[in-house]
Amino acid sequence: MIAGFRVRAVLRKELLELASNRGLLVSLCALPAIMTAVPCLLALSYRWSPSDMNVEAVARYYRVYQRGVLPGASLVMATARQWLSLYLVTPMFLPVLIASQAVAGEKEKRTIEPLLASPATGVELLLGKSLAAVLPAVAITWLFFGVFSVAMNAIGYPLVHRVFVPDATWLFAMGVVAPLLALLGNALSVAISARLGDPRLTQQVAGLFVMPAVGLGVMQLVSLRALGLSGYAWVAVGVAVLDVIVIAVAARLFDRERILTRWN
Amino acid sequence: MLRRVSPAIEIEDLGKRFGGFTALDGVSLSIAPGEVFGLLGPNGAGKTTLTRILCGLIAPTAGRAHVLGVDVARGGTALRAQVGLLTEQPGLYDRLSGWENLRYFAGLYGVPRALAEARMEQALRRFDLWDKRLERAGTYSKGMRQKLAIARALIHAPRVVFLDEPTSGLDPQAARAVRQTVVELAAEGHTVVLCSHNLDEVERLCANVAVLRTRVLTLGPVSALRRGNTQVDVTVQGDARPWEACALGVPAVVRAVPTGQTLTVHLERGGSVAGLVAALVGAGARLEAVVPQARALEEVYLELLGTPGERAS
Repeated sequence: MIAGFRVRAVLRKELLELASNRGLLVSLCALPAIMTAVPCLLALSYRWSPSDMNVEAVARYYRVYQRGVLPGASLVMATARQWLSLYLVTPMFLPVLIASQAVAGEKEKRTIEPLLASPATGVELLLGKSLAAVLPAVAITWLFFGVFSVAMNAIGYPLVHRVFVPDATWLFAMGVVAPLLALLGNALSVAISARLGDPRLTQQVAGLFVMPAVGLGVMQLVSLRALGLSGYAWVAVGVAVLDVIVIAVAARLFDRERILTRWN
Repeated sequence: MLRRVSPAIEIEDLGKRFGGFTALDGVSLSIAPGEVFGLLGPNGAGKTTLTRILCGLIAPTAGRAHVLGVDVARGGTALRAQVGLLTEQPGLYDRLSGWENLRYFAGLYGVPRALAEARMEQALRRFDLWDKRLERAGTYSKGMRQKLAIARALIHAPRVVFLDEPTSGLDPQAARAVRQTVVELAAEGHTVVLCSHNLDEVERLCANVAVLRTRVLTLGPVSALRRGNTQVDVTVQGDARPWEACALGVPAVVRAVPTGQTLTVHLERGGSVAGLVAALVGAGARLEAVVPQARALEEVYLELLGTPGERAS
């Protein structure tokens, strides 16, 4: 049985530590901030000269040019659509930064033994630490996605004359796929952290697992072939299955004796 | 009718191997409730391994151990809830304040908030940390960190407490406060296991001790251990030098050193003082005083560790 008060105690402590770590907070916000700024700057450049020949050439190159529609308007909407895939990298990547400290960081700072000597079970500790990694990651993703949506609509409205982001695909991806990816990134980090016992090595190895997601995003961005709603629904199913598998592995690897005696 | 009191800790033939390395072998001992028990041994003797087994952190590979009647191999949460552990390193969260460090552990142990805050205040005042409670633990001195770690180990009022080098790094005043705390814990019925290299402290606090080096080398009351080998100061009328040869003729006597009227005689373990006295009196010595000298625990400890053939694999 899981004792909720212990999970809350772990979650509260982890969030307190995160809030006091300004360097980590800056690191967590850096990637989504850049990912928000870049498409907004692109959209601004299209808005400044929406009928420019060069803009039209870009629209034709990316096959979004439509007769009777300003090339700049087509490009602003296409940019918004394509950027979604990169926003899905954030919830998977951010928990890696936080959760790599989960077990290995405690070992490194020599706080792990008193913690393991407490009555908290492995599942309670993992749950508390996972929530402390997943919740901020999803919150930061949603925050910057909100900023992105407002900024893109504000920039594109004079050209498009309607609110064009988020659409149903965006809402599904942000509401369902992003938290599932955050869970996956976290579970990977915890599992690797429990095995390796070094936070930096954990970040590097977990980063390797995140690379396919980054690749998927970049591939979509370059080809401008975005997944639709049904495509993301399949991604959600696949990630959910992976979540279950990796969380089970992480819980199995969280063994008090191994953590105490093999990490020296 | 006398009622038998169950031991707080009972260990039978306990062993622990890590692959090919034997950390503990055939350890058996029993610790009564409310007792302060000293666990001595050099680095790598198995003290930490034994403590971890008794706290339910690692499983033994042989034998059995019960803490408060709970089998350590199956105790899990129920066992850990009843024991407190001060680890060798304080292991504090440097980014959290002293208060938050304690509050976190009170939460993990499920101590109700009002009770936890009362205990936290009491502990912080006792260890002179109250004024610093809202400062980050990372800014604390070594002694302050150690005191906070002790307060953390006691936050849930555990019935059995394991303290690994509790006064390490403390100034004399703080060390005294810790020793006083240990005495009070025992008086309140808590069982305290003290792992220490500070033999003076062990002598002062512990009723019984075990010297460990993979196996238990010796076990018993401190007073009995100190009596193990005997040095006797025999004061005679007149010069003691004529009686040196007589003393050396007694089978158990190893050495006899005359100084003025006093003959200092070293006997083998178990050697009879009565036999020595009988021999001297029989030879015509007029004895004024016979005073057996207890040895320091340090002497006993070093002698035990120097015993050949006992070193751990």
